[in-house]
Amino acid sequence: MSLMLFFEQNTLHILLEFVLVGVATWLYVQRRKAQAKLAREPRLTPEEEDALIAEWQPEPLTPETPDDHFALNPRIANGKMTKEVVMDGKTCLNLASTNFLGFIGNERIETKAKQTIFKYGVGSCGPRGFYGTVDVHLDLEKDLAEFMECEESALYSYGFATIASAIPAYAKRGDIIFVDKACNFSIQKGVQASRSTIYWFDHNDMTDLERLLEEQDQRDKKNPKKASKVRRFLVVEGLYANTGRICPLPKLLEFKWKYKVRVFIDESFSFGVLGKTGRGVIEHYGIDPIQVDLVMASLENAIASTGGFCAGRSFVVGHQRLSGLGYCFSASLPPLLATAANEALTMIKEDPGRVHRLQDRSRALHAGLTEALKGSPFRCREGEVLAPFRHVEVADSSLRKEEKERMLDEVVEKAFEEGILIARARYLDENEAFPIEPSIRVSTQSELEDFELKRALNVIERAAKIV
Amino acid sequence: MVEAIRAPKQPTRKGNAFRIFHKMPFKIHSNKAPKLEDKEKEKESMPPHQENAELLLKYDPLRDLGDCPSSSRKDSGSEASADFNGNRKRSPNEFEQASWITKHSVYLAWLVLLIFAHIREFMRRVGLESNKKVPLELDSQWCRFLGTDQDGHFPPLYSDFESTYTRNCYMRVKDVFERPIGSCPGAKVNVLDRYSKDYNWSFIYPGTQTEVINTGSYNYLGFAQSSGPCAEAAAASIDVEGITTCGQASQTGLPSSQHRLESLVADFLGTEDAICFPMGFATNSLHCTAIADKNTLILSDEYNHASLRLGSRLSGANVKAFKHNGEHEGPREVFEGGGRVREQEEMQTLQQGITKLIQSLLQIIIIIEGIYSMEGSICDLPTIIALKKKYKAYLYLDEAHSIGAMGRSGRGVVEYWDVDVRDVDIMMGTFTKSFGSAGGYIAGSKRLVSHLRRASPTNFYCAPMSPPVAEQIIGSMSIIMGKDGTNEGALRIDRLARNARYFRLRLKQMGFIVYGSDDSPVVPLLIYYPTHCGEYGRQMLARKIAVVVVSFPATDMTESRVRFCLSAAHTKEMLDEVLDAVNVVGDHAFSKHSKKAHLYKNKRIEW
Ligand SMILES: Cc1ncc(COP(=O)(O)O)c(C=O)c1O
Repeated sequence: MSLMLFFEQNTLHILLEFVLVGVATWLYVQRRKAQAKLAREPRLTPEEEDALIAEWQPEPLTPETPDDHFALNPRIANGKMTKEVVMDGKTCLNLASTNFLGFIGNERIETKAKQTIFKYGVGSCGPRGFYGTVDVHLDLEKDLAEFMECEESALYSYGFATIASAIPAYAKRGDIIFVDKACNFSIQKGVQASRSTIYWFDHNDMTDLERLLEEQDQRDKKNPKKASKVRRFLVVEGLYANTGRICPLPKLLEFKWKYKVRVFIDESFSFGVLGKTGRGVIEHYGIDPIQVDLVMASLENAIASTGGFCAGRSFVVGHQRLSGLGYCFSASLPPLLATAANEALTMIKEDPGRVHRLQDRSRALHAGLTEALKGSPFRCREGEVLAPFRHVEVADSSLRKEEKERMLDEVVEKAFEEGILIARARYLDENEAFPIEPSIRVSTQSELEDFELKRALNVIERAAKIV
Repeated sequence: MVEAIRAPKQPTRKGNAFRIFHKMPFKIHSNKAPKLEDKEKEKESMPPHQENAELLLKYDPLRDLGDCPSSSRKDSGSEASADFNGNRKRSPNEFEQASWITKHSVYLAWLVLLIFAHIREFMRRVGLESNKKVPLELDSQWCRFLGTDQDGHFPPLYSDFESTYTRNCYMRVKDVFERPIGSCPGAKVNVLDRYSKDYNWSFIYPGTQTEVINTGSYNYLGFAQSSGPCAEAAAASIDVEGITTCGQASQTGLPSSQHRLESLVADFLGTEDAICFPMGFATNSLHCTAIADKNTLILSDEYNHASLRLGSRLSGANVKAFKHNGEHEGPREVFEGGGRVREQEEMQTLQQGITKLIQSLLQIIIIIEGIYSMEGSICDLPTIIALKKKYKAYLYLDEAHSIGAMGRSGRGVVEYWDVDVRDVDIMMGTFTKSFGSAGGYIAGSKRLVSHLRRASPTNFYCAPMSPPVAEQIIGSMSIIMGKDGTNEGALRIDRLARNARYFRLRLKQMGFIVYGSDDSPVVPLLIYYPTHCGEYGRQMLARKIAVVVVSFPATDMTESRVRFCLSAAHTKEMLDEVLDAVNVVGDHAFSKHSKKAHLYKNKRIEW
C-alpha cells in the first residue's frame, strides 16, 4: 500500500531514474562495441612497422636561411651606443636607440655599476626564491614603487619576460582579455600563454572596445553565476611602440568601472618619457595610480638598463612572486643592472628637467620630420607629439609590401652613408597577430642638440627625395 | 608499402596520429597482463596477422641498443673505479623510494595542514583573525572613484585554493624563501637578518648581516666572484661598451661583446655556430616557437623546466610528457607517453595512427635536460640518442645545470657521456649557473642558428646582452677552456667532481635518501614532509648554512626536499661543516629514510 503511494508520488523521479540507467547502459554497450571493433582492426608486424619508420622522412628541423638575410648580418656596434656611435667602423649620429634620456655612457651610472661588480660579482646565480634576491633588488623595487606611487613592485630579469609572464599570472583559462590590435609582441605572447579568451579591438578605437564590452555584458547577463567568477582584463600600452600613439586612459578607466574589467598597462615606452616627472601615461593624464591594476614596464628603454618591473597594489603584485613564471623560474637580474637602473631613476627624480628636455626634443622631431618629408614619397605615421620616436612609412599605401620595404631600406642605407643611424622597424611578420605596415623608426633623446637634429633631418630629407 | 597496409578510412580523434610514435615498436609492455580468459577469447577472434601483435608486446626497444654504457646500471653503493681509459665510471641515477608508511603519513601531514588552513581562512572571513598586513582587494578604497551607490565588486582575482594555500601554508614558512643576500653569492654569502612581527606578512630588517656557507646558489664552478680577472674584465667593458645598447640587434645593431661571445660559445661546444640571449628562461620559452609548430610532436620529460614547458605550449605543437625515472630506464618510455594512455586508447589500431602520421606529422622533437635541477639526475644521453636516431627525431638538450659542471673539461653532459655533439640537434644552455653571469645560448648547426637569428623574437623586440654580463662569460669560459694559460679551469672542474661525490656519499652513509647520480653537483635530499621545509630552512640557518628547501608546487606533493648545490669554491672543511649540521637536523626531524645506508657503512669515503 505504502509502496503504491510512493510510486504515485514520485512517478517523475522514478521515470527519470529509468531513463538515466538506460542511457548509461546504452553508453556502456556502445563503448564495448567500439572496443571490440578496434580489437578486430588489423595490426602491423614489427617488420612492417620498421619499414614504415624507414619510409617516414621528417621535415628538416628548420628551413634554410639565405646568407644575405639581414638578420645574419647585423651591424656590429663598437663602443657605447651614445648619441654618437661607431657602427661597423663608421661614426654616426644615433637616432635609432631607445636611449631616450641619454643615460648610456653616463659616468655616474657606470661608476655605480662597476662598484656593484666589485661588491656582488656579475651574476646573482639563483632565482629570486633561492638566494638570488640581493639587497639591491629590494632597494630598486622599493624605489620603483615609490616613484610610481604604488604599494609594491616586482622586478624581472628581462623586459620581454616581464610582460609575457605578468599577464598569464592572473589571466587563466576561461578568463577574458580585451587587447588592442596594435599591442606589441610581448603582450601577444602573454595573452597567448594565458589561454584565456581574447577579444581584439581596433587600435585606440573606444567605440569598438565598447561594443565588445557590451556584447560580453549581454553574454554575462544570460549566465550571471558563471560571469561572477570570470575575470576580465583590459591590456593596453601606455605609448604604443608600433604606432607612437597614447592610449586614452580616462576612457579606459571609465570602462573599467562600468564593465568591471581590470586594466593592465604596458608602460615600456612611456616610463620615464611621459608626464611631468616621467611617471608615464598615468601621470600624463593626471590619474590616481590606484585606479590602474597593474603597470608593467621594461627598464631597457629610457632607464637604459636591462630587466623590467610590475607595479601596483600589494594584493595584485605580490601574487607574481609565486606565480609569475619568469619571476620564479629564472635567475634574478644581475645586481649591476639593478643598481644602474636605480641610479638612473634617482637621476630622473633629482632632475625632471631631463624629461622636459626630452619632451621638447620630441616636439621638435615631430615638427621637423613632418616638414622634412613634405613632397617625398614618405610620410610620418600619425601619432602623439610627445612620443620620442616617429614611424616613417611610405605614403602610397597601394604599393606592394616588398616595394615599400625596399624603399625604406634604401633611405636607411643612404642616411647611414651620410652618418645618420636610423632604424628600420622590423617585425616577425609571420608571427605577429596582425600585419604591421613597414616603417622606419626615428628616435630622439634628451641630449640631442638642435643643430644635430637639423643635420639629421636634412640628411633624411635628401635621402627621402632621392628614393 | 604504405599503400598496402593503409587501413580503411576511419574517423579518428585528432591527436591519434601522434600516439603512434610512442607505441610503435613495443605495444606496450604494460604491467597489466590481460586476464587469461580474455586472452583465449581474443585468440579465437584474432585475424591471422594479429598474432604478430603478441610479439610486439614482447618487443624491447633497448634490444638493439646492446650494451650501451647508459644501460649498464650498476648496483648502487659500488665504488667508483677507473675503467681502462683511466676515466671514472659513471654513476647511475638513483631514486630510492621511502616506505609506504612514510608516503601515507605525508598525505596526512598535508591533510592536517590544509584543514588548519581552511579553519584560519574561515576565521579571517568572519573577522576572528585580523592582521593589518594582509593585503586586501580594497573595495572600500575603490568606492572613492565610484560614488558609494555603485557596485565596486569585481570577480575575485584569485581562485580560492590558490589564495588559501598562499595565505596559510606558504606564509607560515615564507621566511625560508626569498631570503635576501648582501654580498657576492660565493662559497660563503651574507644573508640579511630579518624578523617578522606579523607571522611573515612583512619583515623588519635591522640592518645586520650574517655570513653563512652557501649551498643554495647555482655557482657550480665558483665563478661568482667580486674580484679576479672576470670581474675586472666585466668592469672594464663598461668603460668600452657601456651597460646596454637600448635597441634591438636587428634594428640598431649588436654589441661587439655579444658577437665575440657567440663565436666563443660555438668554439667551446664544438658546434658550427651559436646564438646568445640575455635570459635563459626566454631562450627556452621563445625559441621553441621558432623550431616547432602544430605539425610537430614534442616529447618532453615530465620534469622539464617551466621555461621548456611554456615554450612547447606556446609553439602549438602536440606535447607528450614521458616519465622521468632513471630506475625504470626512462627513455624506453619516451615513446610510451608515460603509460598514461588509457586502456581503451591502447586498443587503437596502429594503422590509423600511421596513415595520419604520414599525412600530418612533420617532425618529432625530444626535449630533455642535462641535469635535472630538482632531481639531481643526469639524462641518459646515449640511449636517447639511439632512440632519436631510430625514429628520426630531433633532440633538444637543455644544459642549464650541466654546462661547465659536467665532463672532463666542462663541456657538459655531451662530454660526460662521450657522445658526438652533432647528434644533439639543439644544444641549449644558460650562463646563469657555472659561468656566474646571466643569459642563455642555443648552439647547433649553422642552418639552425641562422634560422634562429631570423626568427628569434629577441632579435626583433628586445635588448641584446649587456656588455659586462657578456664579458664575464667570455672571461669564465676562457678560463674553463684554459685559454688564460693556466690550469685553473681544470682544477675547478676537478674540485667540483670531488665535492659532489664526497658530499653525496657521506649523505647516503648517514642514511638520507638522495636522488640522482653521484656525479651530479645538484644534491636533493628527500625530507618528504612539507612541514619539515621550514624546520630545515631555519635550523640550518641557525647553524650558519644556507640551504634551499622545496615543496609543492615545485615538486610532487609527497616529495618535499632540501637541495644543496655544490660548488668548486667549497672546501672540504665547509662540506664537513654542512654534513655535520644536516646530520644533527636530520636526526631531530627523523628524516633518515634510506634503507641502503648499510651498503655504505664501512666504506671509507675520500674527498
Ligand atoms: C633547465 C633550466 N633551463 C632554463 C633555466 C632558466 O635560466 P635563467 O635562470 O638563466 O633564466 C633554468 C634556471 O633555473 C633551468 O634550470
